[in-house]
Amino acid sequence: MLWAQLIIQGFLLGTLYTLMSLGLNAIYGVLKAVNWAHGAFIMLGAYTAYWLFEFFGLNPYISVILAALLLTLVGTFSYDVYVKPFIGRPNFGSIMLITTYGLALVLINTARYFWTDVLRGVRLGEAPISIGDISISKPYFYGGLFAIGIAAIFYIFIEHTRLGKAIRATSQDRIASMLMTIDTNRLSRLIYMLGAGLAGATGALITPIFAITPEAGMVLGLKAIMVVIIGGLGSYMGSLIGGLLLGFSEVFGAFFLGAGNQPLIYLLVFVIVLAVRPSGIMGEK
Amino acid sequence: MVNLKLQIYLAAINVKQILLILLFVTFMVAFPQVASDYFVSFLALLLMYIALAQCWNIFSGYTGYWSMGHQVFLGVGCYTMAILRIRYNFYEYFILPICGVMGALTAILLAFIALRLRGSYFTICSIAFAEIFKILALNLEWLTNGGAGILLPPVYKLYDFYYQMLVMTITLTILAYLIKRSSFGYALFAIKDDEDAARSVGINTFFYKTVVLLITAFFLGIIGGFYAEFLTYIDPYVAFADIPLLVAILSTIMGGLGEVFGPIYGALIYVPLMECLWISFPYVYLIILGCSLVLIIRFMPEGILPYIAKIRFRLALGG
Repeated sequence: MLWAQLIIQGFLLGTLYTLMSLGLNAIYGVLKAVNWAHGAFIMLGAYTAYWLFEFFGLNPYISVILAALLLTLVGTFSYDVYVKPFIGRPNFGSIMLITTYGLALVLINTARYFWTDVLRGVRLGEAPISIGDISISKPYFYGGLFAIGIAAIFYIFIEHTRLGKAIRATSQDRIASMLMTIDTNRLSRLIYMLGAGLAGATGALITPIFAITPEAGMVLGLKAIMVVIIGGLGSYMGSLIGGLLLGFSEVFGAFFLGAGNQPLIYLLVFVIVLAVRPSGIMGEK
Repeated sequence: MVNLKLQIYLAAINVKQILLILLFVTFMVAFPQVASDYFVSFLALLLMYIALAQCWNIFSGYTGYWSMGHQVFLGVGCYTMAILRIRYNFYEYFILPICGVMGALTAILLAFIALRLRGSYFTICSIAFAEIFKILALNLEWLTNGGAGILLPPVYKLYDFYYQMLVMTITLTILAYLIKRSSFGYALFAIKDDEDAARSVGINTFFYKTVVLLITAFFLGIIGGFYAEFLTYIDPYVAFADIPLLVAILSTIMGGLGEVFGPIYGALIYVPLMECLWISFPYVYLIILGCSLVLIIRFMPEGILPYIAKIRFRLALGG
């Protein structure tokens, strides 16, 4: 029963991590560069949900949509300043990593300036769901459910719409898709907005689970990046595997080694995966 | 026709430049005798930033592999110094080589994990690598005392630190010059231009990348040792802080990536600017750092030297 509890907990956490890294992966697919500000976007989404809850009593699961919309807006502005001018430079991947690091610094420290470093989180105060001996806290349950739903919608969008096809084509070969009259510049903007929106939605989902400070932007961003590296950059399946692996290793690590040593376990997983397969589990060589 | 080779060497030496450098070095050596403590500590940190930037330049500027994890070697140096000094009470200058060797050992680890990767993959892995060491330092409490940090013997070290950093800066600059002029340096620049082509003409690229990473890590470890002695208190957030490296990277880009004097020019402009901002707006400072980062990379991809050349050209035309 204990094992079932741990497995369910790890699975729910894993789905959240998957959703966290999905936007990062989508951006990597089209731009071939990692967006370091992803964690800052997640943090902004979390704060959006928190303030909507604080001022209007809005349920965080409703503000998922609002946070996503707001973050797409933030995404399009930051795309103009921090990403677009550098497309086409040699070494674009590293340059974008550093410029978006600057974006993360700007967003996180602005948040610190206005909202201070106080821990903030939404407390819904609902009883956990219990089935037999297994009890699951409701924020985890709903969070996992929403994460699976959003990921499914995203999957359908990528696989079964014209735009999704264009995104996949650009991910495979940017120049060839340009020749096929796909407007890759517009698509880059779109995917950056989409990635930011997904980050915002994730942020709203995690507010009832973890308390948030502005500094969490860096930590969550690093976790999302680790998920993506473990799974393999640019592979959605890899995102799923990496997310679940991280979720399980966190939950089991916390249970068997104590919460303080929790980071060591997933760092160990990370180093082992990198040492054995540097391009990630599902990544191409 | 006494000695043609010697004459060519003598002709190649730019007397004006060497005199300027000598003047600058003399000035820096004599400076602490006349300046206030605050100014000396500021200059010592400036020199440390130059040394950091020079290390980053030798690795990333020459090979084209942008590392964002170089602070890890600094942190390892700091911790080696602190642990050996507090636990075993070794003599300071005896520990320094050990700091360098520990940094180099860390670099071997990074090389085997990340140097097989290219481009942004390497950059991300270097970030993750640095973060791993920060978390390790936070969690391995028996070794590092965790988040509580380690207190070193509180000795007033400002002037020592200043001269140590001066020596490190000069050493690293000479090293950067020697590497750039040697066949080793040509191999590194070949890797930067086209790694596959470099491999196809028989350059063992992995070996060259690893060796240059080891060299920079060794020096960063030593700088870390000095830094720990200077700070007299370290914790994981100080030792593995990423902001100094970020400032160093920006200085290098501003001064010119892959140029021997690039980090010096860049740091001389950028670090005093940051210091002024930091004094006047403590919170907004990091926001400005984030903005200046994108501005420098956008408008000065080649560094500040082309701008200066342009201005001099205009002045020459006008005069």
